[in-house]
Amino acid sequence: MIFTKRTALGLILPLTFLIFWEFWAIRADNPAIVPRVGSVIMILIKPFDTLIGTGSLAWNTAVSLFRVLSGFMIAVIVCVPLGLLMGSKKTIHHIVNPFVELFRPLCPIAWIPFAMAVFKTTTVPQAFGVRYSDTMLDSVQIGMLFIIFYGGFFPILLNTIHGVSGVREIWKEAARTLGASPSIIFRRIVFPASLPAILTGIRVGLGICWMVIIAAEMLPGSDSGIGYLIIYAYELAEMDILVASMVVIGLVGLLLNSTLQKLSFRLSKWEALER
Amino acid sequence: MKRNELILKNISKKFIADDNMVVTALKDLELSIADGEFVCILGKTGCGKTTLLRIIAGLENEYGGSISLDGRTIDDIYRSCSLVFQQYSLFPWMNVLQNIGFPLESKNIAVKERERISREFLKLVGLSEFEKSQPYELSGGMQQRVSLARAFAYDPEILLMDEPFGALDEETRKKLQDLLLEIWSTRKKTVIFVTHNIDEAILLADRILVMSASPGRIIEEIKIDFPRPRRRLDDNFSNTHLKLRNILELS
Repeated sequence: MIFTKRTALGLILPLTFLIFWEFWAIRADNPAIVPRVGSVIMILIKPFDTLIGTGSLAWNTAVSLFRVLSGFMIAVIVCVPLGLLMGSKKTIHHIVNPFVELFRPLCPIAWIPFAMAVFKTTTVPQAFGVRYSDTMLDSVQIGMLFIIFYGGFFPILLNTIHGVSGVREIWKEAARTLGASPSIIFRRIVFPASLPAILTGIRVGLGICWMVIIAAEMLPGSDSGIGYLIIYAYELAEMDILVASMVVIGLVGLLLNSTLQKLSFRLSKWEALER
Repeated sequence: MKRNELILKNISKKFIADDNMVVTALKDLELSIADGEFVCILGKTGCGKTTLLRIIAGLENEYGGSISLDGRTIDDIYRSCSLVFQQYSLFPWMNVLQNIGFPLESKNIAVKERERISREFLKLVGLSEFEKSQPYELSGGMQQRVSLARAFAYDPEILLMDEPFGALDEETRKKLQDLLLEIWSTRKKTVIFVTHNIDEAILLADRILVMSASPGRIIEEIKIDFPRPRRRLDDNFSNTHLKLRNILELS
């Protein structure tokens, strides 16, 4: 009962929004500017149909997701250990931190032209000397990987450092007085105690990566992905495809976030419930 | 020198306070504790009794003086001690059984055996039905019982206790005191127990050392030789209580 009431309350604004949109679309009476709700839905319910000669909605979404997950994985693999190290060793923090802070104000989007100039459209297989690998890797450009990596870098690194420095002294001391070596203290105390913060960093980082890839795909030199679909639909004034793509971006972002939120809640339940 | 006697010589400890003032927490403290002895260190808040325990436990890196025990290295001495804290120190991401089994990981004991030993100590503190519970699901007294079980599972020769029952209500405190005495007498450990509660010290100790502050030092030593269980209404008890109260008030 409460759940259904909650769902109903949550639906009020989206439905109002759709109604206003539909009125606006009818008044504007120009599908090249404001598409009707129905025509957007028609595209969304057929995600596997080829659109404007650039592959289907589903395929382009998959390409974007694959790019994001590849770059994001690299960011996790680099930033979590680096953050753990920086959080627990002062010297390393003093060496790395000024360098990191220097780049922090520079948003990932600002790097896109630079990355395109340096890496051109070289794909991952091409970087390893293979022209086509006939896998989805053929759509993963080194430049895009770099931008996504950069987008995930700061949230993951900074949250990991924050997590490590927040590990309570009493847990480390309790472990020490129970005979634990520094390596056991690291594996069994410092890492699990900072895991909630690390997972927050991972969740925020993935969200940023997903935003950044869309921007990267909109720039010249791109030939696939949901961002490309948007910009191409814009050029052809296919506003229903454009809006359908935007809806997909929102839904995928929502899905990524809520999946990680569930995972992180399960792994760090203790943090919320602890006094 | 008796066998397995813990001897502290000239222990000093200075802290630098926030305003760059040097605070002498302990000065030239001398102490020896026999194997299997139950010693209470009694003192007001801030007299350095916690610092003393932390030094013996190896949690303070810089201090003056020496600690010896049967010619062992200082790291060996630290390893043979375990400190039970006043604040709750269980690891909240582990369940009760994993918490108790934690010290056994460092001893390279296989998982099955770890669980067996952990269950044994959990039973000893009377919490068998809570083995899968998380620490935050337990009351303060239960958490402190698990901490005790965890320290016992480590099987230290010397158990250091820093007002472990300080945050508990009177009834729980009484139960845990009895439990501690029972475990101490059956498992023959040396216990160094810090408290500011006179009655607690008389209830538990073979010997009470009274500490005074600034600088922290031992000003009085009293042997408690009347038999356990001790009762607050006994003459011996109340006489000792009065005596200690006077010493503490003058300290």
